[in-house]
Amino acid sequence: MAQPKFIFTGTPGVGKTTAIETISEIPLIKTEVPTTDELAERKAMTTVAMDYGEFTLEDGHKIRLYGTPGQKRFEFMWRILIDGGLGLIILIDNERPDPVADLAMYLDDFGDFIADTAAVIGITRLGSQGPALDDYIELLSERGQMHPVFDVDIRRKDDVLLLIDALLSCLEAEAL
Amino acid sequence: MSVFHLQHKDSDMPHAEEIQAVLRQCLEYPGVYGVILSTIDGNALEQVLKRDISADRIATMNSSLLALAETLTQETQQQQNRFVILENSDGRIVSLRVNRTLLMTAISYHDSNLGMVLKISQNTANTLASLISEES
Repeated sequence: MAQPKFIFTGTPGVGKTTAIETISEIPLIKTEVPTTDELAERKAMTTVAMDYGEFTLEDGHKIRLYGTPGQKRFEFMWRILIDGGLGLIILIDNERPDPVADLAMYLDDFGDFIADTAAVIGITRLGSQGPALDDYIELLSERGQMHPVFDVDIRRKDDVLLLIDALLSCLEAEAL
Repeated sequence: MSVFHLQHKDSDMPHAEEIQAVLRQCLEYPGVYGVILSTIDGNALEQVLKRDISADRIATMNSSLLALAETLTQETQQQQNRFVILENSDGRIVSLRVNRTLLMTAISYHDSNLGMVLKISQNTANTLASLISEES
């Protein structure tokens, strides 16, 4: 049986590579290169092809974890990486200029995949500034979509596992 | 050979005219119909193209391609990837690094000589590297 494949996507610099690295049981396969554009102000390195890690569930099933590049110009890699995937984890940096619009963009661009599988959303850097969690939930409600939304710190293993557990629960619920 | 489709992505780029001249020289080799200089994270900087193809998209894909090639090189415990050649039914694509932050893509028809295309691509990349390091 093929091992389940989950995909992490989200805004540039949100920490997709870090999230996978936080829980991966194998050394991460990374394709990070120096950042040369405006993103360099926020991060020195950026993923340009994919990240890959592995994680074993309590029942012994191994999950393959793939991370996408965040920039929209790498959309062609998104299409490649979702092939055969079972679920999507969308990470949104709440300190970007319009993070709710960022979420809408990812929901649109991965729309066909999400419709066939499941998605959960992790909001990072949720603080006193920027939208509240409810703003994201409102967006989903307006779009007629129901996906779990969490306030997460992707450097914390428990927070990343929370996203994985939620995604598994969504898949179970859809299978019933 | 005067059908250049020359585009300036960043007119403020130092030595832009010299860089274009180097790319144009590469394009003069028989069979080569496109040369693109791009950043390692996938932004096109300068290009000379004889076909209506998207330099922006190719620059981004080349970034992913070379990153995967270099990751595969490391994973197989080999050293320093030099270039990637895509051999297609009707043409070839040569992708290689110029320096730490720049990449180059050369695109040719199938009737070109692979060895020559590779050599001229490497020479072009070396010339670009010298030119860019001179001004930095």
